[in-house]
Amino acid sequence: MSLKERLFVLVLIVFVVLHLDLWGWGQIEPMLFGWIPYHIWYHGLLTLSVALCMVWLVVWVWRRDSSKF
Amino acid sequence: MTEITADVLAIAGIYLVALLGIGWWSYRKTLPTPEDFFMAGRAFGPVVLIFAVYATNMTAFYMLGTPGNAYRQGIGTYGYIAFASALVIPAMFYFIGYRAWRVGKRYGYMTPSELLGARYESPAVALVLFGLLVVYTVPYIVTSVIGAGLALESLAKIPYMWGAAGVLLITMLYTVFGGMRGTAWTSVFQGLVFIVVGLLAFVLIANALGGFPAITQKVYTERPELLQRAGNFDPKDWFSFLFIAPLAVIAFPHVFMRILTGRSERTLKALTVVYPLLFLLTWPPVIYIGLWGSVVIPGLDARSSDAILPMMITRFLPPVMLGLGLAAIWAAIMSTLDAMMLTLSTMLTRDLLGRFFPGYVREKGREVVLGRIFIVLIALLALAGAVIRPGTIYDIAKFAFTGYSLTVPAMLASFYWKRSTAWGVLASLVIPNLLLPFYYFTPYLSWSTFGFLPVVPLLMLSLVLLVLVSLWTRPPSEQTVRRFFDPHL
Repeated sequence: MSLKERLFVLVLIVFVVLHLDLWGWGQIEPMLFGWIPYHIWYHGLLTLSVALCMVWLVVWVWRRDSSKF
Repeated sequence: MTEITADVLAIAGIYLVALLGIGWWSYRKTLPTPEDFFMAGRAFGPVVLIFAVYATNMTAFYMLGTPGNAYRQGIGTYGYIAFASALVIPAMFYFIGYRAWRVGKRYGYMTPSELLGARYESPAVALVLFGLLVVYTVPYIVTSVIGAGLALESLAKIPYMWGAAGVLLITMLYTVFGGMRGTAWTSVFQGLVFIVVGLLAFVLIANALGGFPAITQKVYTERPELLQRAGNFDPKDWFSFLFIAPLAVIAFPHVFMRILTGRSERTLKALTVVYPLLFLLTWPPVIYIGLWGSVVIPGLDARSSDAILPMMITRFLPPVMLGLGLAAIWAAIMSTLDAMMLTLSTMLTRDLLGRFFPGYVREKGREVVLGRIFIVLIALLALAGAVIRPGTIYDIAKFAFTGYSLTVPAMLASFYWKRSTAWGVLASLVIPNLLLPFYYFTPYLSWSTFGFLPVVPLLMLSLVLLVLVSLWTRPPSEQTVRRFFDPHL
């Protein structure tokens, strides 16, 4: 496993900790736009961050080229 | 629940005819070679691969179980299942899927057992993995067919066996004729159907209930506990779940095989980036519908609440939406069922017959013919399962996801640890999978979970066995290891 891959694993572990979110376990407020409670916007933002993390993965970590095939 | 109107029948009919049309078109395009029938020439671009994998991953649980779960346990359903999946599944696409794709493309592997058997130069590894995947996949197929029958019975009053047999027959036809190409292109269509219908139902139901803020404020007033997690979810369970459904997905043979059909690395990269976004797009709508259902149709028990989405559609939307809703539920079920049937037939043809009768199987294009015969036999087996509905099917289905997850350490080791051995992999597969039923059906091992789900201690045991037994036994030849670790592969 390369150094970049290890760094990626570390970032995944950070996401797991953020996903546990024990500090906001029973939280509802703030309710965005009157219908998006804390859990949805928090985990929604986390999901967007994961997508960005995957962009980082494919650009910086995942470097090989399929032209070899 | 409701009368079937001409509108509902027309929409359902259009949906089913479209599937058969795609199956026929795929049949015309498919060459009678194993590479083309089972793998569609490994030539899918990003759009087809993304839908093929995502629609396969989404089952009836997405359309029925998820809103039902939100009805009972609230908004935390998103983080518990959707976010956990959005995080773990794409990461596994990279760590396992991408490497499997590389060696699969280079050496022609199609199934997980074929690949791991070659990696460890061990027919025993291949057969054990084949056996485990079959044991966990067959109940999954049968419960899908039972689910289809029950859904149609409760939603449209179609007799259970008619619904189950009808869904099975259509799925079998386009899978037999279209092979991988047919099941993947129907997944594109089916994925579009359940995504669009889910979004449409979300907006229209909110509108019918006075708008997003009004109906959500009603939940806040009457059932505030459903808008947060305390009392609805346990933190240890929350953590453990990361290792069940999300980790299991890469070990589903039907997902694994589809990843190998990607045309290029760019295709796999697109899949990895888009996958989390699909969860964000498609899960909140069905979760909100279930949540709103808790205040507008209160008092449902666990079983009835699984039908909350179609209930909400029937109660608040025009009848034509029930037809679309039915098509969406079918789409979610069939897009998984077809992939599982094709994958199981590939495994039976290549991992079982191909191993014991290689000469016969590979002669005169018999591989594809046998694959098609197996699809019909699997459909008949599933039909028999749907008729008998044996208790063991449900029992195995209960722990199938954990069982799939327990194959992941072996898959990771095959690509990341040169020193891992066939004996290490066998120990890591066999012992935890033998212990698994004891966790689910007896109290003897519950002390070892420390409040987590059984998957946590079992995964740890699997890892320990893999490492210790590998260190005591001889690794495969250097030449084989080099084939799997060659950076210029």
